[in-house]
Amino acid sequence: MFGTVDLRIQCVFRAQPPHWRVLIHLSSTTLSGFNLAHETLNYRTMPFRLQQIQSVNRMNLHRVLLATLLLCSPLVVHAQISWSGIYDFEIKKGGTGSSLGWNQLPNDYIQLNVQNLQLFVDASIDDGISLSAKIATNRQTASDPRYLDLELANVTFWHLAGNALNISAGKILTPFGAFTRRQLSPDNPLIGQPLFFYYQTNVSPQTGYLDAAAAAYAQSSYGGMLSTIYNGGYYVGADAFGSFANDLIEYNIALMNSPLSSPNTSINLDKDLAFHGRVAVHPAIWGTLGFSYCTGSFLEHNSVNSFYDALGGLGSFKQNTAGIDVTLSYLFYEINAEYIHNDYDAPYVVYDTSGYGWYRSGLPGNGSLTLSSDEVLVDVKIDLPFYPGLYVAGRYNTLSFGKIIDPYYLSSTYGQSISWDDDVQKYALGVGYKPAHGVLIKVGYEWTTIDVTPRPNLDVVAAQVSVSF
Amino acid sequence: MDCTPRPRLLRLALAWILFLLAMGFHSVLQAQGVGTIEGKVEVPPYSRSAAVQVPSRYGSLASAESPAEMQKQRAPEVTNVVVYLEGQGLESVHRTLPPAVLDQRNATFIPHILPILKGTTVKIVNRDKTYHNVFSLSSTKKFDIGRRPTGEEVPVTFDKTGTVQVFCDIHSHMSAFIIVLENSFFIQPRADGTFSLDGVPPGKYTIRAWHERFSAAPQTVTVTAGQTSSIDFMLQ
Repeated sequence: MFGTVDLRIQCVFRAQPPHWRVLIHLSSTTLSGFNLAHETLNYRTMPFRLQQIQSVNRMNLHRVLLATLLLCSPLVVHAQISWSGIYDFEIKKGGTGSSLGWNQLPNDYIQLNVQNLQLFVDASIDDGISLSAKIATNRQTASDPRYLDLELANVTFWHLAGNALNISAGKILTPFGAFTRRQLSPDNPLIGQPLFFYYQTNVSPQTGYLDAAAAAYAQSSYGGMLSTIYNGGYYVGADAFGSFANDLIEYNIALMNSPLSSPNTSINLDKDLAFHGRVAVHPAIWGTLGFSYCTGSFLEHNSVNSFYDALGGLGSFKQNTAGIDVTLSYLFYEINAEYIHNDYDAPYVVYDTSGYGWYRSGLPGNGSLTLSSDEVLVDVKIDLPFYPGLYVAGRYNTLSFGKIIDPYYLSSTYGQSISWDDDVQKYALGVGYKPAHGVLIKVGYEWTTIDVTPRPNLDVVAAQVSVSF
Repeated sequence: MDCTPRPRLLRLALAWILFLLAMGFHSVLQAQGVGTIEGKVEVPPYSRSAAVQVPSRYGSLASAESPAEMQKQRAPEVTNVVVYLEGQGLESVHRTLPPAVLDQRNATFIPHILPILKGTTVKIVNRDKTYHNVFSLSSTKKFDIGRRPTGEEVPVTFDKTGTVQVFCDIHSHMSAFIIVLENSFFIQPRADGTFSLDGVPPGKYTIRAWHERFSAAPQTVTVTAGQTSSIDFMLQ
């Protein structure tokens, strides 16, 4: 090595509007101190977007890289780094009512789409310390490669107490449930994702319960609608995990900046930390039984709910989620089943068109509704041993909603017991084939019923090529 | 007193001497019937990717090992080379080979490279407490043995020569190679790169060195009975 390479990353949070400013400075300097080349890149992060604003102190990035290669020849590697990735290409066709909320399809036309590109980096820093990160194209703007998400970025300290304790810190995957760890396309036997990832319920992250009128304007005026688990389940926090009794019992507990449904765009801990946890038992090699729980304040501060600051804040409105997952497998058969019960303790913030503005509705008690839902997911996969690489799979997924007393005074069911959202049942069948290691081709058909009524306009037929590299 | 040995005793002694001489000569003949090939293999510095050990990437991390720990467990890369002979007449010569077993231990195939003779049945054994689903999509041999419990041996016979790359469908980082060869004259170098292939019938052969990533040009080696031929490989 004839010099040094300096890489510095500076992160500064700006409040108005809330965003991160990231400065990446890369320079190559000889041992005598002469600076061969340097480059500073200036990025601004918005939710789901990493946008380069400008380059400052620019001396041309490729000169920096060339200088780096010259200085560091022969290369001295202090951290072993491995890159890997997943690439998904899809062809989809949905019915006229297909939408991102139900079938991840924005319209009813045939879609040819690079659905996802994910790049993983794993670095072995030292014995017992590693770093993992993942950059992915944004799921909701999959057709636009400009938008990237830093979905994972964490450091892990291994074997702090043998197998019993390991700690990860940073942006990590929630330990809740089992499907979160099977969501990547090489591990998902079908093409679509479960309802708890994408079905947008009548809950706003800003105003709580959405009545029928508000739901129509949810995206524009109410901050959107929440799914049970947000966008794959990545949150910022710290996670302790390990196993006991010769791996019979496995645990994973985390403190995160938000519960499962929250988009967690704000990095300020203006509410209590959320708890995510799972304990799993492996009584036999063919079976796993897991229990999960998550609790945290799900509402995001916004001007529409700022009046709550004088009422004790938003922290008392919590999402509580419990789950049970079972995996049974033997030879060529695998069954994964998951049950999730979710409760929102949600306010009912409404807008007074007469000019009063946003206010909380006069609900009894503490002015909140308990919005409950139950979801069941069952996946079955059968490998065909007579044709290695080929399998068939099926999925049953249902989401049902509890009852509330209709608080919307303009509704015909005002004061009556109603279901706070429409029950959904989703079915999927598919075939998968691995022509080579790391390449998976899937074809699938998915159909949906709403309140057990078939909805052909929501059906989707899709083909996917997933490449792991 | 007559000191002349009895004729019968004399004949007996002569017979013994001739017998011993014949045994010795046979041994000499045997020793002079085969040769040895010795040499050294060198490979470039190569660190196999030490990916984080996670079943299906996001799977359980319990009992997982850090990438640094996994890297330390690996044998020197030169031991993953297979040196083998090609030539007429070698198929008919029998050499005793160790049992062909492909273990899964700590979510790793052991050995990483398994050279075998065509027609060999490999026992695939899961030594871990978790499932492995061993499969191959190589044209030489496609198979999928499914999820097997701890200790269960699954025999798979390899009838075609070629390279078979083996994976686990549950642990994507696991891989191994089974090299199916035409004859039994193959060997893997020691940790220092040296190898010694003995019992080779005299003749002229092609000797090759196989590695999953690097290669070297094949060489011709002439084996003379009772002598040692020297061949080195520098893989690139």
